[in-house]
Amino acid sequence: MKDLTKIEEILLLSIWELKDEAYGFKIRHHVSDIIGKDFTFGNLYSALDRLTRKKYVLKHPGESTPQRRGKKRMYYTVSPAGIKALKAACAMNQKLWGNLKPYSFETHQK
Amino acid sequence: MKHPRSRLPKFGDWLLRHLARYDVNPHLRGDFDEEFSLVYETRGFVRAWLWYWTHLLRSLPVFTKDILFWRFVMFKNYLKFAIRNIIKHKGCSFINILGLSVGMACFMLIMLFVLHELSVDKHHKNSDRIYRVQGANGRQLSMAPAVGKWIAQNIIEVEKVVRFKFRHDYLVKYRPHNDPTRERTIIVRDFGWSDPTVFDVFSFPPISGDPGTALNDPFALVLTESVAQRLFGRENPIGKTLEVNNRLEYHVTAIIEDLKRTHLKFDVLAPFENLGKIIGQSELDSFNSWNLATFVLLPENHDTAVVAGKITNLFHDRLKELWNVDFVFDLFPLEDIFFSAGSSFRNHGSRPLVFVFMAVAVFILLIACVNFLNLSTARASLRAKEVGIKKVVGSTRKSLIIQFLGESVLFSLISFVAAVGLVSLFLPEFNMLMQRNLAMNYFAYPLILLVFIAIAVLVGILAGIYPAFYLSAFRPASVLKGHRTKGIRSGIFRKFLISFQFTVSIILIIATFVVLKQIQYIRNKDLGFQKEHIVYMEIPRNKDIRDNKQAFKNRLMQHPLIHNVTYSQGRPGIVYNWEGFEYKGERNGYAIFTVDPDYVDVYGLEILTGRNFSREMLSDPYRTCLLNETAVRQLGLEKPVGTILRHEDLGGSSFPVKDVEVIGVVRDFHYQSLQYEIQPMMFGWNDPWLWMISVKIAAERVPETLAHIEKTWKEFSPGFPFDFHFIDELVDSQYKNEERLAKTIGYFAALGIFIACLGLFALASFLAEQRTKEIGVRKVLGASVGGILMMQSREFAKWIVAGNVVAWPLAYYAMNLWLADFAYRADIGIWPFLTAAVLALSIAMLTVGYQSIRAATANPVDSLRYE
Repeated sequence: MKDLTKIEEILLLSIWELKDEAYGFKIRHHVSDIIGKDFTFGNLYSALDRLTRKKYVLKHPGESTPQRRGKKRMYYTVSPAGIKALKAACAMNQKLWGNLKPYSFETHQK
Repeated sequence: MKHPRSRLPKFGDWLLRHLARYDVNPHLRGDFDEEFSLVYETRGFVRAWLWYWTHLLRSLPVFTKDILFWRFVMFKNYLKFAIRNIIKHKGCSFINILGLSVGMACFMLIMLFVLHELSVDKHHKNSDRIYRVQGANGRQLSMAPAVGKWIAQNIIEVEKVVRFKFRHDYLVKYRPHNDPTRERTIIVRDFGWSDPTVFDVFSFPPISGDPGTALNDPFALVLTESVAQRLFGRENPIGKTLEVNNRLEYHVTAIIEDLKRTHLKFDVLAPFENLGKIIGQSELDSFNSWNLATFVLLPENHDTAVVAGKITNLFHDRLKELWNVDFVFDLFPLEDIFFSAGSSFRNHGSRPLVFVFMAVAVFILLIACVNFLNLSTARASLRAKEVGIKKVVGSTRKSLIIQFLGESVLFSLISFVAAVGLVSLFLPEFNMLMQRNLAMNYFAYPLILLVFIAIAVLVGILAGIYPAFYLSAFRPASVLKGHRTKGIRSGIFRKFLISFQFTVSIILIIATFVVLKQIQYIRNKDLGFQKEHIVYMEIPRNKDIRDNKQAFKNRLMQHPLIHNVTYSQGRPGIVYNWEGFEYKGERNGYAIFTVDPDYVDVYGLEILTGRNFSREMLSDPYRTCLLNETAVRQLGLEKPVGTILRHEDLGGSSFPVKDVEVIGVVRDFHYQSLQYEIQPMMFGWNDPWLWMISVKIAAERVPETLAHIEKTWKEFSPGFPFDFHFIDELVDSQYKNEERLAKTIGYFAALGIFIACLGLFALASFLAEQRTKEIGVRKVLGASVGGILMMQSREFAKWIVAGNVVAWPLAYYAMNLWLADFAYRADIGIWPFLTAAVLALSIAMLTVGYQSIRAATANPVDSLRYE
């Protein structure tokens, strides 16, 4: 199993965190908040497509609202394989960061 | 406030629908809409609108990347299928590509020719404003020098006037002062004189020097590139001095590109004023000799009828006084000259021929397309499974159509590349055949290349569209179950197409035979005069020789093998002059032949009543004439001898007096191409007009006689090339156009049959393969080899006979139309049709036969075990 890329990691975590709310528009806002930049739909769907093909997420069409002119929402959930991948990523991150905290770097600089 | 929904961007949504991948499409657009609505409610329409568009634009790179990625994946997939198919069915693919590429090569060659013919004289900047001054009804194409001059001086509507005078075979010598080794002499085929305005009126691209002022000096010379090359090599020709005919010195002032795509023909151009130094200044303002081509340039908005009327008025009084005739002028558009029938220029074009060739080109291409179409549909069952599987997996009909169309376009592009190779291989032969100098320069004319590629793609689509729809229509359920339902039904269509192929080919074969028959008929027809063993040449038109004509003739006659010699203005086959004569208040036109008394003997003409011209009768020259029978019949003369005809048209005529007496009648002979009926004609005798010499020689020891003529020639006109023709060759060469037609159509008929047979071969082998089992069963049940052979061949024979049945009336109609142009025509008869039918049928049967024999002789044990 290949390691997750950063953006895949962020997306998977966002979808997991959003739970029942995880559809395009919400995911985009969530991700934009996290990375502090405007994350476009183009990039979002292209990344989601990759995750779908790797079977890390599952799709289920949802309901529509008047604001969407009748077009259904597509909800994403993290699949068991996705959870596994996330766990692996988490484990690696923990190893990598260990007990480091942001201020650790400041002391080092002095 | 309006409901936000109504303000959602429509165009953006449409754009997204087409840009975004189909699997995420609706949700993506929904998300865009949802966010737009949110921004709209909180921050207003403008902000929302701005957000929508900036976001869309920022997403654009990812969308396009996605699209390209998937397109490429599909393309790779299609390509893989196409190549696998080509490789799997090598023979069939080869036949397809061979047929298509031969068809395309034919098409390209013919189109090159057609494009050339249609573009002649159209490249001049002012081509639509240039007209040739001529007599009404094309009666008098050449003008006197004064005509152009008077028009330039008196008619304000005419912007520019150009007069051309051409002479042939001039000696041009380059003799550098300091270096005798570089001395060079060449013979210039077409030496021309023209007014300096020539470069304002026509567009002849200059290479060096300034054409605008090049002809201002009376001894200036403008050379074409190839002449300059021949004389000077790499030296700079500008300012160099040249000697012309060992007499006058000129200096080179400009070089222009070789003439192409124009009916005008000259290698060297001197100023018109210079002509005055040769023939006398007063001649330049005279009405004496009518032998100039005169062109006028009219302004942007012009009325040719008005200008022509003014020209007629300008000359009316003068010509009435000179010729006692109301001469009417006409302005003939430059762009039409090349195709005009009366044109005396060499290699003039023929518009019907161009259209015939165009039709032939298109039909050959269609024959090639039909091959592709037939093979693809016949072999449909081989691909039915592929289609079925693809449909089951989820392919749409649209994508299948695209796949099959793409395959046929791939085929046609491969064929196109092969065709380009074939064209460059056969272009020299084709040029020889058509007497043209066509070039396939793709880089100089990228447009032509693009057009040809476009046509190749079009051919691919045309050939592929029916198979594409046909194949993509299979129902997966029935196809995968193994039904082969549609293969039979399309058989009718295939038969129809094969009949079409053979119809076209057979028409071409019949046309070839009929044209050949007509040529044969014309060749063998008794022309009424003897054309064998007559040497014909032009004597140089200069004073020294003119004064020695009699001496030259006497010297020739000394040789025992030379029977007789005559001077004349022309020869049978060409009419230089048509003039009107009046008798009892009625005016008739006559073809005028200016000759001397020996003409009748040399050409073996027969005088029915009266007498020939005679040197003893001092009054004979200029004043008397011989008529042909037709003229006598037309005039209704009981006793033609002694009749006085009143002469109206003195211009360029051999009769400087008004009353001409008939002294004899000549038996009718075909003095013109057999395209025309014999019309009234008249012989006159006027020595100063006679520049051509015909020498009647004995049938034996011809080389010896020719050597004698050459020796004598060299004595009398040193330095002038000895150039002779035989009259029978010249007379036969009148039918060069017809011969060319026969040859060309013949080649294309052969190619048409070839391509059609390629298709037939592939189809026959495929069908034989399909029927392997059937044939096996038949043989087991007792069918004979002959019977099976018959069964196989009958199928194809039926289609070809059908093609014949359609072709015959069409060919008969077309060939009658063509023959109608000839006054004397061969009987078409049944033979061309029968020969064409037998030929086509036997070629086709040979093609099919191989496959049939193989199928029929196969051991039933093997064929029944097959599969």
